[in-house]
Amino acid sequence: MTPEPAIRHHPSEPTLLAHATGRLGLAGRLVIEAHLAVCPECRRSVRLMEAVGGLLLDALPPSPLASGALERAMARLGETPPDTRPQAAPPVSQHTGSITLPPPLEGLPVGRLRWLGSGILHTVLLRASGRSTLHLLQVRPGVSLPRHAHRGTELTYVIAGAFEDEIGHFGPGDLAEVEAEVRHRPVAVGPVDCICLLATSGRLRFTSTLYRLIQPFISF
Amino acid sequence: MLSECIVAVARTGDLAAFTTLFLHFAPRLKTYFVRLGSNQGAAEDLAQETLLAVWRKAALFDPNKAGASTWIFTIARNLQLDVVRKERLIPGNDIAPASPPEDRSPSAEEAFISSEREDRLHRALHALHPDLTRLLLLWGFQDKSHSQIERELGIPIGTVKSRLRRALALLRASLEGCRDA
Repeated sequence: MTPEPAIRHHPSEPTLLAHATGRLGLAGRLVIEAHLAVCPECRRSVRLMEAVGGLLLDALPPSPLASGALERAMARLGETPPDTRPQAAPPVSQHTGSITLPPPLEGLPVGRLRWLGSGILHTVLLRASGRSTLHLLQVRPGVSLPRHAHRGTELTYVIAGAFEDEIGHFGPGDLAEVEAEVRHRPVAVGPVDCICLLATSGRLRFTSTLYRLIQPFISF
Repeated sequence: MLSECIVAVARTGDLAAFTTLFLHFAPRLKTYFVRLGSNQGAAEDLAQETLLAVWRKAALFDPNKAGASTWIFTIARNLQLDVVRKERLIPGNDIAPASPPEDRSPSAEEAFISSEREDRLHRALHALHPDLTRLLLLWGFQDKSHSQIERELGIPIGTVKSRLRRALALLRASLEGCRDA
């Protein structure tokens, strides 16, 4: 196993709070979990956020329960605990070649990567309700990641390789959090392809003409 | 004390202690699940499931290692994650839909901050300006988009986030000098 890379970019605390309270969409959550798996500092922060969540729970206004709610709960105390473990995903053939997904995403089927432009391979790993979408991108060094406008926060996790934008240099384990309206132009750098996960919410609108032209065909 | 109730449930199956926990937490948990998108009936079922899990897992609760609210909250949050995981998934390209992977979140129920730290946090949260507490509640417990939050508060999302950062920094500062759990 290779030593863990030095992590320089982390999710913001508000994002970690939303993660700890279970409010993030599925795509965002999986990207954050990929980062947490390699970042002890953020794992500690999440523990703090969970405690904040517990205290905020106490501050929530109580909702009236249906009549007999307590009695129904008491009647069920003797029940054998249900098996809540999720069923294993059906085995799906992997077409990813050399791409290994981070442990929190193991078992997620990966479709065939398709060319999204010169030097950019792309697939959608999952779409959850609420338009939360998880993308996998493989970008050749020197090539810009697709420019686009989006709503909500966009989270990018670097699996391998690196990219640079106006904010800095992002390598394996780093998490980039970009607000909507921020026009950034990340470019893959270094000797190997930049492979990253991208969680978006809301509908993406590509800003360059090329991508706007091909967008209908790639159902981003 | 709510944590003593969990201990009593673990030691003797104390039904009165369970009732206290239920009456305190179930109505708040219902609010939590409603705010994160469940309807009233589903939210009540999830609140009940949370309390049943508290009953079953009470022996795992260590009041020296975790506060009652944090512990129960993480149980509820994990149920909420199951709900999100079961959301209808639209497959990516031309692949068959499949369940997303099992939750292996490192923030599992085993890892907590100590009850000493939770007490400090509790005091710090009460010392926060009510507007910041309201903001934390809105941010943490509402299934709302950034634009909805902007409209509701009348401030840009960047300002919302910087205020949240300040609130969380104040809470974090309350733990300084306190040994890490």
